[in-house]
Amino acid sequence: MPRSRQIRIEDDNAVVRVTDPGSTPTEPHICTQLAPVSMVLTIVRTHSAGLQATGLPFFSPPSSGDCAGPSDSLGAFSLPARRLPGPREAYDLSNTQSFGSGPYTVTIRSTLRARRPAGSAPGGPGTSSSSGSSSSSSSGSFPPPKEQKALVESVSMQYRITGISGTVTTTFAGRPDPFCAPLDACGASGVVTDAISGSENRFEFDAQRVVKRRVSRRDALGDLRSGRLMLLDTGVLVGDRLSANVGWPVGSACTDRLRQLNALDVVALERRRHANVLFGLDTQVEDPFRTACPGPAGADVLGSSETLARAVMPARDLGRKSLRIVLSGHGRFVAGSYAGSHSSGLTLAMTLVRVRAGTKVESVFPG
Amino acid sequence: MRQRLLIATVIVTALAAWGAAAASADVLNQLRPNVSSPVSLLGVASGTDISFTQIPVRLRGDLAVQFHGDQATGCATRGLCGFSGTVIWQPPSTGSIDVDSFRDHGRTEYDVSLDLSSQGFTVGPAIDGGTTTADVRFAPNGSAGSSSICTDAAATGADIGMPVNLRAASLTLAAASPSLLGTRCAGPLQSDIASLLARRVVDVATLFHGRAAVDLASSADFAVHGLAGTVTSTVELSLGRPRTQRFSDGGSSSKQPTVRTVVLSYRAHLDGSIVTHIHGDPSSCAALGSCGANGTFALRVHSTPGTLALGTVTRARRPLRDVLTALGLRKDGNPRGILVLGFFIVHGPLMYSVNVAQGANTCRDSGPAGPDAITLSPTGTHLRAEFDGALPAPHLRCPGPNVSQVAFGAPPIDHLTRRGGTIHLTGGSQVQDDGYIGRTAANLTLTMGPPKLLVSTDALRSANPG
Repeated sequence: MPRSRQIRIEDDNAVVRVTDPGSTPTEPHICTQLAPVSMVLTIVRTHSAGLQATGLPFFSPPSSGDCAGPSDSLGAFSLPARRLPGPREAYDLSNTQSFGSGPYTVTIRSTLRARRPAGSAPGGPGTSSSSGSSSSSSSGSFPPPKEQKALVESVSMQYRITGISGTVTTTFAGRPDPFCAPLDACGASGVVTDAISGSENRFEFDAQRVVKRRVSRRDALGDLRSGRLMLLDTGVLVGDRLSANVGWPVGSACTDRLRQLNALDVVALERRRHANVLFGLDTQVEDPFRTACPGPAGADVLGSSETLARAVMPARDLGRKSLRIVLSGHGRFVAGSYAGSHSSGLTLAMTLVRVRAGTKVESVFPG
Repeated sequence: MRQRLLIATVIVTALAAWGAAAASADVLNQLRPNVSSPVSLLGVASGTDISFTQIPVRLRGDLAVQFHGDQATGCATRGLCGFSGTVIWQPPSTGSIDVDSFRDHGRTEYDVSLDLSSQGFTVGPAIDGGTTTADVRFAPNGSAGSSSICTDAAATGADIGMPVNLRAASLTLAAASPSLLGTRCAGPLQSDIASLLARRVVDVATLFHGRAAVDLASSADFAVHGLAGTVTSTVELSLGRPRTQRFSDGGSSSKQPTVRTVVLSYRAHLDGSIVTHIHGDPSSCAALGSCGANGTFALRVHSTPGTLALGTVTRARRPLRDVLTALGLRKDGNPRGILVLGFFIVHGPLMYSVNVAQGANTCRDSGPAGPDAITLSPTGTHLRAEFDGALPAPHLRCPGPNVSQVAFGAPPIDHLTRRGGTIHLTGGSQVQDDGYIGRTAANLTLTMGPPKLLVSTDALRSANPG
């Protein structure tokens, strides 16, 4: 057997069902949601335990969706694997195991059996293998563009972050009956507060363009402030502390707190037409406000946007000794079984550390 | 007309598989399913303007159906009296209205649909369409067993057809696929409420302008086939700025590759059944309310005779004997690289019947199925025929699993293509779905009459087969 085998599991119609507090056989309270699963199990041979199938922490492992449940990934587990006899490669991954995840005890019960489809070669659809070696081929690929030397007008500014603080608050309540029913949100209400703090201490702004003549430091700074010199996208990652509090009319409540890093970032983009810099508090993760409590998903709260708060600063302010940027954002939402609102406020204070501006010869790619 | 549709479908499929260069829009540009011959199928008729318009749509609102067993419409005979519940469809926040314009017999015709399939990059797995959630309780009368609850969710409504009459498009949710109400729980069918859903008639020219709001809100009561209740829609569409791709005739056809279409057509009919036996899966039945359930879903087919088309498209300079060899009509050619595909649309009496017993209650239902289809493709010396039932939830109004109704057959190709004959499609597969386990057994017979051979050569307008 190669050093590893990968089994990809996809189920577009996986359903999560969570029995909520106050549920009785005669009056059940069940949160039900479609929660598609896409995960990869890697089977490797270990020295101590034979074959083990481990869930990779990417893709979309099983989760409790918007229902209450462990906020940690349920895909980070290992199952003992047993090779099955037969002409086609096959594995038995059946097992039951329990572990703790925050306030929950999680029991994973697997009845999985994986067998290579008839007629498929090793490495074909459904599985892939890795033997630890790699090779590359350039046949059929385009030749890489050739670098060339050019005169580059550039400005680089480094600011030290002296303060970054703010909160994102989402308040929500179950929608009227029957729309609250699928997620068992009838009468439920809650608030998720996200307190943001800094995790990096430098904010760098860089701008560059190819020019035909040398320009002075003063002219380069002037070009940046007037919008003629293109600002490259930049940003810093931030840390945040989530706290959720959700209550049901029967009197029970769910509270949870957790710290996370790199779920949110502050980005700066050039808004070229108006010679402005656009700051945004963004998220790049699927559900930045997910805790162990039930509640709306980030996509429900934000819609198709990834931006929680914004601020616009004139580009002419770049280079000032100190900058204070106040980002804000708010909105309402109606999605799934919940309706509510969100408001965000973030203050970013920075002091200038250094400025480099002028012209230099650099290797660039044509175009 | 049906024969033309079949032949066109074969050729569209063949061309689409022919090369990546033939983008789907190009294929559509070449082939409309309602032209008069395989020659004109290749789109050489002059002056035909075809365009494809995509209008981005934002969606808001939901569709809710609350229902209960109804004595007045026969819940007792169907075993539906004890069921009550709510089914909610929630659309995705964005989609597009696709308008396909084409010429047919000198007139401009339109196909309009609301496409809610997942588009673009998503962080997690994409959901095709909206989400349907069902919360259905079963409370038997008197001592006829114990009560249970079924909760389920499914991805539904990826494609919603909007009928067009002359130049008027009816914007409605009534013709969604998969059904907006389809889950494993008991409940009404989409066809039970289709006539109650809002229908906004919009001139196609107005649709082309986009930037309009379409209110599909409605509320109405229904009582049909043993179930009664209320349908409430708050769905609104907000149309954005359209993008139109126009297809010209591509200039002179003399510079385009010339292709040959070879089609064998047969009179054919399909008979038989696919029967699925299921029972509640003790390990997962509680959430679906299926503990102790035992049932049978049967698809019975006695189709009306129709046309089965088996064909291929190649460059005209490829020797005809190669194509005929690929079709099993000769043995002296080189069939390498020639893709042969066949298609038979199954119309006529197709009937689903359902019988699910749980405790003292037996849920019975029946309804028309189809149209379904058989696809055919040669695999070496044999012709592989596959039947795939179009309905993913054949349990109708009763509770039951989502199962595929599939059957296969692979007789020798030359015998069939030369003289016609019969193909037996069989298959047995295990059913393992949320709440249910079981087994499906198929026994279908496709009877094909003697073939007619159609050969035509013409220029392809702009597709670029390899």
